Amino acid sequence: MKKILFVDDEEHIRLLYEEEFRDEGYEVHLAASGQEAIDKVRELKPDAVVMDIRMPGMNGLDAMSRIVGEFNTTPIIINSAYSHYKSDFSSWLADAYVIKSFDLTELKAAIREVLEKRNSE
Amino acid sequence: MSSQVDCSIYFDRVEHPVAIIDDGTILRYANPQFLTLCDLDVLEEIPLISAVERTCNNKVNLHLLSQFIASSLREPPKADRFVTRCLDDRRIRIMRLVTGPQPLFLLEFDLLGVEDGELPLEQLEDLKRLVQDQRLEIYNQAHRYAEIFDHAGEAILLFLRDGSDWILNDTNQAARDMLGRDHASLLNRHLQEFLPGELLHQLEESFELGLLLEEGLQTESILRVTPEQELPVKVQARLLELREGSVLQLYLQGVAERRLMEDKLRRRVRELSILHEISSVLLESRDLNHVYHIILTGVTFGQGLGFNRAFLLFYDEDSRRLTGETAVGPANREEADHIWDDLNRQDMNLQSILHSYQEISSRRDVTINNLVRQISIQLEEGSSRIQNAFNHNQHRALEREEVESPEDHQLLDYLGADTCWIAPIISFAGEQPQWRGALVVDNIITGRVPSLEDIEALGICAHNLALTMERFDLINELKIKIQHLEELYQKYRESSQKLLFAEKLAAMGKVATRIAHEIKNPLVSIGGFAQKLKKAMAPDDRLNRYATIITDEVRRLENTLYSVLYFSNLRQTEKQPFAIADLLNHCAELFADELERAGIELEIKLAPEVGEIVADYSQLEQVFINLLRNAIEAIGEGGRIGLSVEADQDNYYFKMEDNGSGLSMDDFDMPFESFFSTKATGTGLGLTITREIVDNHGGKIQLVNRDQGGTCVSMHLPQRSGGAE
Repeated sequence: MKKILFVDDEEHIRLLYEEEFRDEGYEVHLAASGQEAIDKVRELKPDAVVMDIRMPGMNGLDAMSRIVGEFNTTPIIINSAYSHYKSDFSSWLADAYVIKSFDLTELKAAIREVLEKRNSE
Repeated sequence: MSSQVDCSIYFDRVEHPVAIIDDGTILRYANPQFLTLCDLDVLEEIPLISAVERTCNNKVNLHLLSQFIASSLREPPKADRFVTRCLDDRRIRIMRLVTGPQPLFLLEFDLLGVEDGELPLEQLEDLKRLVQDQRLEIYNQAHRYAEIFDHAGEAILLFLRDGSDWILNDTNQAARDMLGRDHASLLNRHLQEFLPGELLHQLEESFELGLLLEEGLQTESILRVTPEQELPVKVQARLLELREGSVLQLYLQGVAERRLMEDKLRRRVRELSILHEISSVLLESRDLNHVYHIILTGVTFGQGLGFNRAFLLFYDEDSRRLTGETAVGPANREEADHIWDDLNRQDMNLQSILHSYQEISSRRDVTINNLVRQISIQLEEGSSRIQNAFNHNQHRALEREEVESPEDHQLLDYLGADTCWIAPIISFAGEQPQWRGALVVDNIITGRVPSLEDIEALGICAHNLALTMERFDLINELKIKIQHLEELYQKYRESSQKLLFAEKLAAMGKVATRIAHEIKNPLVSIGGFAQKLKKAMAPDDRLNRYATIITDEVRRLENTLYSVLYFSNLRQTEKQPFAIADLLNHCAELFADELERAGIELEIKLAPEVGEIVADYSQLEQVFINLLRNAIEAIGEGGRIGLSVEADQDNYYFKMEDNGSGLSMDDFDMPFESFFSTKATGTGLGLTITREIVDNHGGKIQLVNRDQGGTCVSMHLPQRSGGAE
């Protein structure tokens, strides 16, 4: 079972993702901040990370670059309410960029895609 | 001074020639026989010898005669005694008749039968007394005449006719005082040195008509004391026909000082009022050609400076050439008289005279304007009067007899005049004096010599003209500057409006972004969990429908938020080549579900030449998403959307038609304004974003209602947009 780490400061969204992606057959782990995300990645070595950007404390992009620095094979999907981080240089490190929506179809597709890509490499 | 004696009662009837001579042998009396001997018609006061010489049949030995007379005069015979001498066949005797400083001698020829001393003594005494009395009378008269002549209050000048000239022969004290010179320095001077040409002309005319002899000539004129100094005088001219020829008597009386001052003052006032009038008209005038005409009119018109003709010449600095521009003046005297008669009859002020004169003269100035346009003078030599006038900024007179430079002659030749006056037009507004042209005037018709004041006033007119020309230059410069400023202001207004709009957008963007973020996360939770509820319920459950409503609304809210966020972040574009077909197919796929659900048919038609475009892919994607969403929402359910693309060399032409509700006419210009929306819900940002993107790509988009219902969007985009990055 693939391990996915969802990073979001919003409790309800974490709950939504947990339920939705467990139903999809993933082993769901959650983190509420950038620092917690780094700790969880070190501890769990997830197969993919879904990262919000705007969070109190360390933001998602900083956390992502730390994670990529340590585990450069862990695919990271940015999941933000904003589209304009797409043009931020550090967002280019991500394997996918999905704008946050209640409709999780696109996020699901993106996770499937990065996992397949990782398997095939 | 005549000093004849009259002894006719004694000798006119005697048969032998008798004469009375003075000690210079000048004939003072001759009886008819003596006149016959000398072949004279009347007595001429000439030396006896030359009188006798004249006769062709004289039988007198002149040599002996002159010797005899000379010796007789040198050693006069005793009083009352005759000295007799025989010359050839003639017996001649001579006797001193009157003694004193101016003695007279009686000379008799061919005395027949008369012996020495045979003249009766008492008769001889009578003769002597008579001659003496006559001499005294003559002397007294001459003396009286000389006294009157010399002490007359009027200045008297006597001129002798010499060919066609009048030569000064005598002057009295008053004349010498008036002229401030002594007799010797005045003698033999010519009449034209003293009088103006106009009066000379008049005198000559009267002389030839014989009027001078009969009634004389009386007028007021100018006496030229020196070439520089003139004196106004009353002139009376009379002619005396004497044996020595025609004598012109000029009686001159200085016009009273006060009168002179009055005249000067009157003239000055008139000139000043003319100049004032001209200046005020110049100030009001908005047309330079009008200005030229006013100046020329003021210079020529009779109550103004009264020159016959006036010419305006322009100077071109590059070619150093003076060329004629315009002129005013009659073609001949008759025409001039007509003009002034017309004007004088009407009692008008100067302004209206200026106007009327212009009307009259503009009809008549054709001849002179043909002339002025021919004038073209190259200024080369520094020595010409013309250049001298410019160099000193002073008016100058050009007289044919005095000027030497070909340039000066050229000007006189063009005018066909012997004299003209030139006043330079120079402006001093810039760093260097700028030669603009010249006013040239002449009196070709009347020949009048203008006063110094007239010529000064001409200079003032030229100066005025220079100032006016400067004023027009400044006005023109100002006009250009104002126009420039207006353009700048227009640009400033436009750009400040754009700036304001941009600032508004930026401010709106900031607010929108913050709000959007605050809303977006809760929306994800709401929509996400509604979706879960929906899944947990049977499809026919009423609660399932409620959950669907929640998710649909959340979807719409998300779309709105997306527009707002996108709008606030529209500035960066990344252009790259891609196929139009790929873009459109991708968009169609995005809407595939929605289209199917709403039962709308989307037909995409690409012309074969439609290939790649260089543009920002995601921005164009947004354009078509917006347009398609718009069309879908306008159609509602069941309909069709046609999207066609054509190309020419530079552009792609997109046309998207739907059969939806269309736009109302009031909305027509509005759809692209921010936040305009006819939809019951929505931000109206969709079309604003669309237009912004199309603008950024250097294209254009237009929305029109189709006649058959629905909306037609036509849009063109450059194939390689060089539009704003």
